[in-house]
Amino acid sequence: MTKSRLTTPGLLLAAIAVTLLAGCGKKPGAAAPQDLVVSIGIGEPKSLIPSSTTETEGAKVMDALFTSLVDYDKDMRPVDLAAESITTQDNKVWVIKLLPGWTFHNGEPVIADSYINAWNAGAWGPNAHDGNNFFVKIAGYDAMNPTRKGATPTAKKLTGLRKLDDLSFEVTLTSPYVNFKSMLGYTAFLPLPAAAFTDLANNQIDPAFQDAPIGQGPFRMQGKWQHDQLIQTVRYEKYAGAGKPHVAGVDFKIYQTQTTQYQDLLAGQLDIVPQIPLENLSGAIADLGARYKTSPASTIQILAFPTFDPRFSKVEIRRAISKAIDRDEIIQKIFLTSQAPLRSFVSPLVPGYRPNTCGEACVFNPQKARALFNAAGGPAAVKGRIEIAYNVDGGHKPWVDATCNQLRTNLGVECLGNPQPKFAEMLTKAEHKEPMGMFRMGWVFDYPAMENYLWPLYSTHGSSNYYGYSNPQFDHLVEAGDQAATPEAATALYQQAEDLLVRDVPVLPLRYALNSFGHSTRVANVEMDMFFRVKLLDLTAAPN
Amino acid sequence: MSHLLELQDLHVDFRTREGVAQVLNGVSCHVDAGETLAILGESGSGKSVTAQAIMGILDMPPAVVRSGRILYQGQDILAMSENARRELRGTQIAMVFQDALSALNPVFTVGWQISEALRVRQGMDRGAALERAVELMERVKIPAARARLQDYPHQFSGGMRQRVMIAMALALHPKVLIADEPTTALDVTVQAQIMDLLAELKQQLGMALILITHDLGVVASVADRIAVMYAGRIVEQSDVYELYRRPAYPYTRALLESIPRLDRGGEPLKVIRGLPPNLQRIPPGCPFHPRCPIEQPRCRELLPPEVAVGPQRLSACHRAQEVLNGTA
Amino acid sequence: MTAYLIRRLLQMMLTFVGATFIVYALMFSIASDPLQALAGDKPLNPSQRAQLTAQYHLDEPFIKQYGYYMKGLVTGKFGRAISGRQIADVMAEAWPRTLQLGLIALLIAIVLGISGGVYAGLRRGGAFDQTSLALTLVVIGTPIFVIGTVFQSVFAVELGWFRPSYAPELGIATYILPAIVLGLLSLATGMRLTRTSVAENLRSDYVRTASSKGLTRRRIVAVHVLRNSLIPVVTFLGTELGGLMSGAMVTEGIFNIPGIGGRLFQGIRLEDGPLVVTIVSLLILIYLVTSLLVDLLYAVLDPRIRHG
Ligand SMILES: Nc1ncnc2c1ncn2[C@@H]1O[C@H](COP(=O)(O)OP(=O)(O)OP(=O)(O)O)[C@@H](O)[C@H]1O
Ligand code: SF4
Ligand SMILES: [Mg+2]
Repeated sequence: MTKSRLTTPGLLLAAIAVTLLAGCGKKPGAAAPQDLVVSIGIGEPKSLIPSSTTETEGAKVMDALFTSLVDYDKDMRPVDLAAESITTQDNKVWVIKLLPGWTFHNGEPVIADSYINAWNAGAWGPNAHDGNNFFVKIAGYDAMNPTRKGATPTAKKLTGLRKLDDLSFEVTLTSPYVNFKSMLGYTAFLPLPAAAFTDLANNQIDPAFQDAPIGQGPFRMQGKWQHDQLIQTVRYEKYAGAGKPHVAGVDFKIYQTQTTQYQDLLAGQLDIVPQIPLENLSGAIADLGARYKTSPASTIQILAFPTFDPRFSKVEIRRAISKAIDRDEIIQKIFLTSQAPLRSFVSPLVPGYRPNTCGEACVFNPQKARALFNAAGGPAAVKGRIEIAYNVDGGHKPWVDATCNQLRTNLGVECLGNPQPKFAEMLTKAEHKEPMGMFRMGWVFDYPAMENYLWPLYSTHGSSNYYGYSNPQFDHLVEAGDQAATPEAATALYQQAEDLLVRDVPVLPLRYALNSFGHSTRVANVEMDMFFRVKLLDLTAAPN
Repeated sequence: MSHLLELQDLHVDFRTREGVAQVLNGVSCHVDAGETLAILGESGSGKSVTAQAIMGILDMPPAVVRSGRILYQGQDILAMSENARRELRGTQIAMVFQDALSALNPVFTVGWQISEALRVRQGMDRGAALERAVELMERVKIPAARARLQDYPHQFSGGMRQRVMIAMALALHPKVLIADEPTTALDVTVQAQIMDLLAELKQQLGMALILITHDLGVVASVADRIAVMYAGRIVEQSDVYELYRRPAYPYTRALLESIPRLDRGGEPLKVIRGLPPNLQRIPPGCPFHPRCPIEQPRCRELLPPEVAVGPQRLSACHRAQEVLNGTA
Repeated sequence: MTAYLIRRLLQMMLTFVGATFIVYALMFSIASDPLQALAGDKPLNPSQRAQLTAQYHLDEPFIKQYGYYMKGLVTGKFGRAISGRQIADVMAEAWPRTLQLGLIALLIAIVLGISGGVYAGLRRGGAFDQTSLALTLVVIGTPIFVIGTVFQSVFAVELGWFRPSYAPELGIATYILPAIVLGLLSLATGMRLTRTSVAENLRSDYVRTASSKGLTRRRIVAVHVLRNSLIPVVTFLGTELGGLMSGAMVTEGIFNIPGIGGRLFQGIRLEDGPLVVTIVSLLILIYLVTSLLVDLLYAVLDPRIRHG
């Protein structure tokens, strides 16, 4: 029979190979230092309107486009940035004076109204901005935010905001709040140009605005937000801030997974991966060498004991569980360098943090743990088993399982992970007081203040106190701290409050996060701040 | 003078995983222009393999032509290059297959299939080739031929389909037409029509016709000579009339006796006992001996040679003469 | 034929409406608190909750919510996703990417699968046939996620032949690696199917007939065998398009293609009924349309079906 001369597969393979080689291999060449455009990996932001940007991805972009009133010094105390001064006599009425000469990217001068308008829009309930809650302390908030469904707000403007002159305004709070200046560093308190509004009187922001936001920060938008792909910015030449960018622009490349960001970094297609995912961590340490870095972050991980579950009502049981967990081992085995043990109830990043406030209860000691546990009734006291609920979409299974193993070995009690589809589902169960065992929670601060952990997590009406801890004395101390005359006085009160937590152990502090980031050889001076943001003004091109 | 087509001592094996089957074991026969040779034999006797060997369309592997020659116009086509052999197909020797439904490509129109060879082999353009296809279809008496050009094989009745096959085989004016059981799948009246058509075409076109069948009754009226096959050998060759009158091989005789005939009235039919041989283990001696009613001891040891038992008559039986004479 | 088409189209419409209803009901039944899901780990303040609940009709009964959704669909207003973007915008951006990815994957599967299959079928038991069989088994046994990650590491990161992630500036070339990953399973299956089909058809009677006409082997394979062998292959690969669209979810995630997969994933995570239902409905629609097209193509390729 004749030999077939069909060589089609070979031809096709060759054709495809040629196409591929033609399309690839174009890696960005070295640019002059001033012309370098740095690419940073982020997730798709939820919003690019300041008062609606409460998640980290959007915050990274906002940091390029806007400059906040205050920054934080190395002790995490607020220092003026876009503000000339922020002063108060009583922590209730604050006067904010703006630095002159600032302009928005469209040329509009930045004036007191830029802030007042932006904050009113953020506080206006019907806008449903994610940062709405940040305005709750300003007088007049309630009238703009009826909680009853269908009710319309009775006011359109915050009565607590008053323009003094073009460059200064006064903010009146409903009650004194010592951390207000710290709070002003948060994204929600950024200004907006008049161009952002379609109807100022009714707090209406142009829906198209967030596709090309106009800020007063060191970089301005280049084109529009290309959803799920790219947000391009270029240096704003008229930036009035003290520091100036050393790079020509920043491309925020939008990724669905951090793993892909990391692959792109390895392939030379991305300059900065702000968060290297756990699964790539050991590889990154080896691959990147000095280009792999860590920096402190404000995330803390805790295990909560629901008060509605009688199994955990004895404090001895809670202490025994805490003592039976070997935090260091879990970190070494699972988190490598990306987390550190936490033995206090607030993050090490806030002023007033003291190490090891949890004391004896957070020291791993299996013998004492077992003894304590048995004295408190042993396995029978927890009806034979402990569960740890976690949301499966957050990669928590490995450490939850490891924790359970430790409890099983060290306490001699059955322990099981209790996977929940989503965090929201866990919260719903907690709200309905459905027993699901202990459950995990994480907390990130909005601004560096002890209160930013103490109140939401542990006060009776704290917004994230899903486990029902209630101690009037604690509530009172935190409130007193908020209203203290000076930051130092406040810290003393907050610390007293934290000491009560040591006594009650309503939750177990486990770990705090370190930012693990990496960068390409094209950039240098890559540092991250504690809000997971790259310090854009420090960035430079790598010396050749 | 040489014959138009002549097979000389053709041996074909099928080498499969199960073993080697000796399918053709020395087939010799010939056919000349204007003549009809019928090859007769039970299922598995090697009729189709013989035809395929002539056409050069055996599945190789597993088939292997072990030895022998196939002479066409005096030239051994087995020695030719594949290309030269391919040139012969259709133009010199053409074939009509048994089951027209599966032998026609289901996804092309009959017009396309009939005209394909004309286009590809003779470089005719589409229109001319289709015109010619209509003529061919008319020639094989397909009614409303032009209207049916665009029909697909499955839209034809069995008899019409077989006519399409024949038209296709005739397209390149072959000198030899092999029809491998062209009527087996058809009912009796249609069988006769196809046979008549083949006879008529052979006459008109002066072709040699090799008609393969296992049905003695069908060939009687059409064939000039008959070759009877058994286990890959031709065991008897004769002209039709002589063979019917006086068979010279026990198997042929048994075949004749198994045909219902008007002149034999109510006599019960005889059935050939036993099974066809396993071609991987053909019995020694005469391959027919396990089934032969008149078998003798020598039949088990000695392969009977083909011997002439009359003018133009051959038989491969030790007792050929006795059978012929009706004394065995 | 026309009657058949009309019947099929009516069936499609019914299936479509039924499917949207079921998907909507499923989404409704799993949704615990979309607004909280949207807010992530942070608490939602009450006024914002009240506002969004009213805006997305979240406190209304299922049937009413479905009614709003269908009304929007009929009037061409898909509405807003819970994340705030217009669903129509999201669809208009994401679908073309997923479709390109899927079609290129299909193309690769068709071209390589069929040519490889024909080659293997012509040389049964040969080196190519054996290796492709072994590779096929590997491909079938390996989850697409693993294949994708490995291909990304090897061909993009290590060898640098491709980009590890979506790069729109490269145009269609950016889809090649993801499409290979996505199409690999179909390619492998298609190749085996073609191989078997070719091998079977090579033994069929009409091939003998074709040889007896004196056609070259090349023509016999390319015209007679191929045309017949392709009937089951086309049917298979056609129905694969729907499967490829769903497989695209994983591939898109690995290669960061901002297609429908990421949106669907996000929609499910945020319990975003309207978004998920819109995407799934379109998936179903594609599935229905391709299976109709495949059936029609089947009829075109196989006249026995057409006249049957
Ligand atoms: N492709 C093949 N592979 C293996 N064996 C084969 C093949 N083709 C034919 N044979 C064998 O060769 C022998 C003869 O087959 P052939 O088709 O010539 O019989 P036949 O006389 O035409 O019978 P029928 O009347 O059934 O058509 C049979 O035993 C068959 O098993
Ligand atoms: S040779 Fe012997 S066995 Fe064979 S057919 Fe003649 S008589 Fe019968
Ligand atoms: Mg036969």
